[in-house]
Amino acid sequence: MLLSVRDLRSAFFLDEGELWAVDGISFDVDAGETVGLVGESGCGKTIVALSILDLIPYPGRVVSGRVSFEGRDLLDLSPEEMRQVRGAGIGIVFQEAAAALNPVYRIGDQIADVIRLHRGLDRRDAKREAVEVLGAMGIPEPEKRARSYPFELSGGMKQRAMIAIAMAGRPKLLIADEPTTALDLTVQAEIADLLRHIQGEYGMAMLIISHDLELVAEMADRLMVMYAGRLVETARTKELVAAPKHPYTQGLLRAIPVLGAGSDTPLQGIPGAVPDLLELPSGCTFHPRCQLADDECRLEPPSLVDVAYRHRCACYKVSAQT
Amino acid sequence: MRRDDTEPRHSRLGSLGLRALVPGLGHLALGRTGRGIRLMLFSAAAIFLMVWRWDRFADAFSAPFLDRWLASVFLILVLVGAVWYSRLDVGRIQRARGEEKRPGKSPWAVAMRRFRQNRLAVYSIYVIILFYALAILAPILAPYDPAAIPDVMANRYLPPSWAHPFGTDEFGRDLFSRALYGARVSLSIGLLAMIIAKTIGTLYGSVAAYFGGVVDNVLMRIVDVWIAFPTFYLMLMLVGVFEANIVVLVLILGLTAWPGTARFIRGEILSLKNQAFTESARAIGLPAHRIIVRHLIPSALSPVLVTAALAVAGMIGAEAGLSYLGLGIRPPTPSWGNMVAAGKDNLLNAWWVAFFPGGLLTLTLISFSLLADGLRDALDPKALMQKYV
Amino acid sequence: MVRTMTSDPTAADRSRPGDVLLSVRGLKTYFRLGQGWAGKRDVVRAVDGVDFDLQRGEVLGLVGESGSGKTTLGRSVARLVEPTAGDIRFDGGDFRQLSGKELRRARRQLQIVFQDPYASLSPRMQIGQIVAEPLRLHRLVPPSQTKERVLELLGRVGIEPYFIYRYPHEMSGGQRQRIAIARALALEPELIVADEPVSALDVSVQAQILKIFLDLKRTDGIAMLFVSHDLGVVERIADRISVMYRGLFVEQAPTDRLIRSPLHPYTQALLAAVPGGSSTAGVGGEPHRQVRGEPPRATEELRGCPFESRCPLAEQVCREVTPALEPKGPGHDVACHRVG
Repeated sequence: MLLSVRDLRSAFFLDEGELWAVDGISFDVDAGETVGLVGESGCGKTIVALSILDLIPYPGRVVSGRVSFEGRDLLDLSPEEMRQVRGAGIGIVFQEAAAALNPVYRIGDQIADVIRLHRGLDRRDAKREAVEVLGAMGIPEPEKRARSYPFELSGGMKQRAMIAIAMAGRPKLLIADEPTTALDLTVQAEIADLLRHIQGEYGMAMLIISHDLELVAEMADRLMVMYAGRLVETARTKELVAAPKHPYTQGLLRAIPVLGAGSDTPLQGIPGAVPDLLELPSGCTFHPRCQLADDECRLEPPSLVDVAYRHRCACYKVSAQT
Repeated sequence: MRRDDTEPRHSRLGSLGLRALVPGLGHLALGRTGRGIRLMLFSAAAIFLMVWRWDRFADAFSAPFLDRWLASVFLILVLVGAVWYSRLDVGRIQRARGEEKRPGKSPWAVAMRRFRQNRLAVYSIYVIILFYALAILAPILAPYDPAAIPDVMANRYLPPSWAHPFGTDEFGRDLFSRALYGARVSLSIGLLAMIIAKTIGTLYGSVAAYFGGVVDNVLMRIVDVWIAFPTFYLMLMLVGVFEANIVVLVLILGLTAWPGTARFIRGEILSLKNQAFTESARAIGLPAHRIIVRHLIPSALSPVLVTAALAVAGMIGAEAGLSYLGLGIRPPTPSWGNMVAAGKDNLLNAWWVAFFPGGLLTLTLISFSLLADGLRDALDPKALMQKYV
Repeated sequence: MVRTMTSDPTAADRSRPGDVLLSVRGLKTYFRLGQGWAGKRDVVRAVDGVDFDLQRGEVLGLVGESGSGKTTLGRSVARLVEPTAGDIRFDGGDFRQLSGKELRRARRQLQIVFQDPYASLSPRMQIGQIVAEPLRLHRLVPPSQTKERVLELLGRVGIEPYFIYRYPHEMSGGQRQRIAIARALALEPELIVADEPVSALDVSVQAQILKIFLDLKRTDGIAMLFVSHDLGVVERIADRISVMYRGLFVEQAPTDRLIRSPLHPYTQALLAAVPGGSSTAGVGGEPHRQVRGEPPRATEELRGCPFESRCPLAEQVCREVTPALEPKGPGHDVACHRVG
């Protein structure tokens, strides 16, 4: 087991109150495996990634739980040790590549910096290595591109450069937070291909975080669905897409306008809106939007239980059936 | 929302009629103790002043002096306002407890709540309100005539005492009374000049930004030229030409300061102009002047408020500076600036002459800065739009 | 042109088939980059010569990637951006010649719903005021009935009456988009330009909003120019789809036809790129080709086919001659030299 997250709880302490963005989440990522974390805006999925790397901005912090990576508890590490883990152990790719790259440094230098930091190469070797990594990320004319500044690159190129930086430290786990969301459709497909390709090439594990269930379903071996700070369903991708158990997952799948379904297929949304994390409903946080909800659901939040082989679901109505 | 304390306390605190008449009583009944006590204190203070200085208070309505009249009317307004606000606010609080169907919280209300959490800013606003109230009430409060020169030899340079809390100056005039009257000059010049500068600047800047193109270019070049004059020398020049009185000073300070606001507002409106709500207003066919007045300026106003607080401080400082140099308000009319100037030569023998007006000036300027800080934090538009996660 | 309409009598009434509501010819919208008094400035050719007609009650989907000019086209049609050249005829009149009061009056008929619901509502107005503003402005109902009408409009988009005293910052994205729609509906428009109206919303909410648009189409017979990058969304609502690339239409066809048998290599690539695309998009025929690279910047004058640099089929002629939209099937126009 490469990464193991146990009962992780992270909150923001605001003037308006405590905002529990991650409220008791446990999951594992095995070496070489791709796991998808899916949820809508404000469900806390990004905070999961930031919690793992201890990067939550003020006024938020990890409150409790354990995150162990290669057997080491990340939450106990000193800032110096944590820096080593970021990059060399765990790489991260953010949605806004444009904002994550430093606008005043050349792409090649930014990558070389990471390589020098984590692999201890000297300046010249690091630069050569940087060009190589850029090439491996499918960037044409990597020598020329290494000398470019971020503004000279297109959106897709910037995202490739971002991935190159994340990969420069040869991480064992790559966390990709909405890696394709800001990109055009054709470019999205290319980046998804690239991620699949490098995962095979480097044999690392991947945690893909996205609101786009369709996209993640194409890449991940296992899926985890998150709602209002908690995991509501986890299963192998095929099974989750084919036989979702949780009413939220079912609704989400029905709401996606699948291309080619024809205009006659009725589109069904989920009534209501994603709850404000500051004013969470009691019990199962999905109950105000759920058609199956009854009194039981309003009292205590359900926990994830096995409903089928490697298929876990947090719903009283589902566990009652099986 | 606090829902712990609702109905039962009603009966204990006066009948319905009494609660409608006595400001603050309704708040106490609803458990809003702080606000209730404050409202009661304000009204009690107003009544006390009326009774204590009844002759001066009543006199104001028979004698044709604007300043006295203002002071008396202000006292009445405080009382009427307290009663009226109290009823309104109690109604609002009761309605707000109506759970789900509560009325909305405007962005201003949200900002107010954030502002109230900033202790320093709240204190500074109390200081400012107190000073303005003292200034307006000077004719009622002042123990002596600020210009009257009694027996000079007997009263000259008396140190602070119960009879003269701030001491007396070289002509034996009571400095406490002079400081009260001086506050009227200094504080009103600052406020009025700020209002003139911000009004002209806001309208000018938003017109330039909204119409853009040639209009913008011409208007902003005029601003560039205006700003290019060194303001202080311009003020010195104008003060030399016109005789300095309050009106002239207000106009000079206001008219030299608006281009900065115009530039600032232009920037704000330029960014708001490209937001969809402006386009949506155009799409429904709203004419330009209504888009500017109803949609753009209200949204651009919060940063203006912050700069307005700073501007008042700047204007008060500028007036003090001019008066100190002998170019502003001339003695015997007191202003904090010329009072400090009068005391500057005698700091060692009679420190109190310069110390009290200077101290009041400093306290005022600091309060306005703190107020501006508090406003900036409270009005941060990002705080409204952004969400964590 | 054959088009199936709904059986609803009022909708059929308003949308007499063959009755052109909007007619756009040779529309170009260029932007100058940068500021300055003189000197040469770069020009972005956001819309570079587009022709199309929209029937009453018809929904035309406008699909393309960022920078393709689809949003600018929508805004140009609504004259929120001033077009550089071309004709826009709306409801029989020359829409481009209108100005001042006339334009403001004509705008009643043509409303726009924006992408970002967080920016499209005036932040310091209450919901009731936002929806009432167009009613008051055009004096559509007597003042005494304004509130009643506002509640009716909000009811149509599924907003509870007590929300009228709330402010936009207290509402979710989906609720705000509903309010934006209610505000547009207040003017009883003939045409709504919907500029990515569901793109900023969560998937579970997206469907709710899309349903409202479908309802406007079916029961009110409102014509729409529905701009979106999401083919799956457009497929649900559009009668026809136009694919835009670098300021030009490259393909235009009835919805089913375009999705099942696209002819232009770019359209094929777009469909192939949709997640899950391999299983769905290729339904009609051979697997579509993927393309590499990104669209060219539209700062230079176009020479040859705009898609030439990324096209797997490009030939010499594609580098020299810009292909025009030509009919290649019933209602199916394609701008490509290589489509036989």
